[in-house]
Amino acid sequence: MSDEPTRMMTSPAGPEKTLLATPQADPLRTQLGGTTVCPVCHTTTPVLESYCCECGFLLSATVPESLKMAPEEAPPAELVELETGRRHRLRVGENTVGRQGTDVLLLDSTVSRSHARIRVENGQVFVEDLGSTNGTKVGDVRLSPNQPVVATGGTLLRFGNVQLRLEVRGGEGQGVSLEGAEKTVAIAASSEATLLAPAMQPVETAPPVAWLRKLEGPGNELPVPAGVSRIGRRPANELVVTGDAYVSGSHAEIRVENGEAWLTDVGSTNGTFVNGRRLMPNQPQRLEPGDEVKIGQTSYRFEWVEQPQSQEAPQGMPEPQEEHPNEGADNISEE
Amino acid sequence: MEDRTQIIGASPTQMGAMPTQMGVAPTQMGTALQTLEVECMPGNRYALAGDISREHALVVLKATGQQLGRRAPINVCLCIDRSGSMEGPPLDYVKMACDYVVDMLEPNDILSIVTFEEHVDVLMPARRVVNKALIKEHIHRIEPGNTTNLYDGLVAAFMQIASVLPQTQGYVTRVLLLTDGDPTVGIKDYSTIVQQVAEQRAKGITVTALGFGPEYNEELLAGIAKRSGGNYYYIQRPDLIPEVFRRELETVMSVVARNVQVRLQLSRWVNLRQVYGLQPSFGPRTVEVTVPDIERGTSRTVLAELEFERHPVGVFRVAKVVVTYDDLLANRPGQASADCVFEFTKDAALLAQGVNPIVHNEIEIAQASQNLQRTIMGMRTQQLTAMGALSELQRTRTILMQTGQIEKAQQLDAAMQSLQRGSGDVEKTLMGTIVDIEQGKR
Repeated sequence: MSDEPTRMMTSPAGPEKTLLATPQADPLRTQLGGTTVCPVCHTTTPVLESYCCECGFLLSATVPESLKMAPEEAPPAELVELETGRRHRLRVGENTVGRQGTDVLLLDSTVSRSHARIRVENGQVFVEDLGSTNGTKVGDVRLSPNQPVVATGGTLLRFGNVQLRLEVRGGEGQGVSLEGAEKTVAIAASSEATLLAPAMQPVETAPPVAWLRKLEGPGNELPVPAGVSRIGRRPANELVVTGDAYVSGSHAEIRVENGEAWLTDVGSTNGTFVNGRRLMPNQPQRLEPGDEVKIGQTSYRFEWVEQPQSQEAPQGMPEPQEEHPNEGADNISEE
Repeated sequence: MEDRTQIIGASPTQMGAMPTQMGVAPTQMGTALQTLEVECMPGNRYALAGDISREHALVVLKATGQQLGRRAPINVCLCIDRSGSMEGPPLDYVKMACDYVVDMLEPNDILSIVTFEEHVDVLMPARRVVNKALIKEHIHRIEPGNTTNLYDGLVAAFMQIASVLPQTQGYVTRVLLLTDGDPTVGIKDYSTIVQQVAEQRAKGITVTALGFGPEYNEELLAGIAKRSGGNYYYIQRPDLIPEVFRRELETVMSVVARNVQVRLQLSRWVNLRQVYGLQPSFGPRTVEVTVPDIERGTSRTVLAELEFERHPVGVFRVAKVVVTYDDLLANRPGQASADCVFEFTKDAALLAQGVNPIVHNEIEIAQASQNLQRTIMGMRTQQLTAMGALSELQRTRTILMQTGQIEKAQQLDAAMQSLQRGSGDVEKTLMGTIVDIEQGKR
């Protein structure tokens, strides 16, 4: 099998040959003896493996005639689940969202089988609720059924209890222009301003300026944006704690302004603790980096984000700084 | 316990020095008999190259039927509802059922008994079953109380099982929860209870939910069983309680693989859309699902839906399937793996020839489960009349018959008879069929 002529052999540790290795190549693997470079994706794989460890190509097979990949197109837009980091690509045209058989498949009982529709068109992203039981939110605005709304890159979308961040190729703030908004005929003229407001001024979408990093317990990490964020189990909170039954529906509030962070318990059943001391309800407590915060059964460490001004560079997307020196100024190329 | 994965991982230098062993997958070396066999079938031999396409992959886990050695010992907690409504024959039969359990256990097994009404009592903390007569004496002192504090009862049961967990590696753990009603005091909401169950699952504690009579909440009990990887039973009459306890205990005693994790390592250009009936956890290019305990001689299926992004023409392993489990026959960690391979082609005509009938069958069965859920929902919201529900069930029954799921088709027969009689337990029966399908029991 290893004598297959189509396989390119490299010496185990030849320094000049290691240049062939892609950055993903595991240095430990190359010690195994021979390695093979995959003709499809050019990843180095140990000869012991029958399949390329990166793309899965059957290495003993004849190399396909045309290895010309369709240029690897980055999807025009993606949705990222906040809780799991799972990415859902959006295609140009229509994408259905729901719990069963949809393009964007969200397996959560609060999502309807056929929940919403996202249209990607001319570099714009339109979100439309299809009469779902638990509703769709774009930023802060709950959509009326069958009325498409424009959403920009970085906006938080919510289907039932599932929160996702919209990422548009080209970075934050992309995908909005008044031109496009006018095309959304379904938006009544009177409500246009309010409906577009979250898209133009994404309040929730601001990248976190601080973190409540989980130390232990059943809850989830909480990215804290600037301004006031409510913390609790209920989905209406800006920071929703899942998985911790000891967190109240409406538990606490964190306010970040002027470089200071203040935490207030809003009358939770099981209390909010800072460095082991229970907060009096409705009495704000200033947080310092390193403070240990306990909400329900979950302990967190409070910390600031290193560079609060810098944009999040979503992985797997082109670096916004390189291709788009002025953030949000460029339009997305048409497909 | 011996860690086999470490031995495999620690041998790269050795293998480099042993060119004769090249090409032999490490997992196949020196294994005479696997407790679990793993196979992965693509839904179609072919997939479309150069395009975005969706296909299914079926993972089949088969447990050996061989009678090897003794059964694994069990750490079991009986968690019994003694609310007022259990008074009379139900509680009498429960006591008989508990006696049964005590008789079936061996000195190596661990038993605890918790009862709940408004308050929770630990009738017997987790102990080896030594003095059977004394345990039974305690069982016969169970008296009916008032309300139903299911959550605290469950938590007490978890604590009993957990209190001996460190000393009981290699044991099968199980809480047998029996209730006849909705929770009425304490924490009552579905998501909190099910979340608690899911957390205990992560620690290796499984709950089997036994619903008795017409009043219990089947949605809650099925949810507990599903999230916990345990079984669900609907017990119609009190005199059936001892029989169901015996059946469940026998099931627990025949478990050969527990803590079964199926991990799909996805190749480039492959995304996982869903795993039917199970809640996957997503990592960087890996997806993991926990599969319920597997009994001797049985098999379980895991059906996944994949999405491919513009593969070139050629044969590709789209995912490597790695299964890890506690091998209770050999009393050590077990591991098995399989490759999920598709041939990507530009020739769309080939696709029609490549369909795998076994995988296709599984997709139909998954569809049957979704049909049943829709029927239940339709009946609850009264969008479906009894006649409408009957014809829906008939259709689903046909699918189950055609796919060889005779036992499940019979469950539907029972549900249809109930529907025709006008009795209200149709959903309780159907829920059992859904749980069985979603847990991949075949």
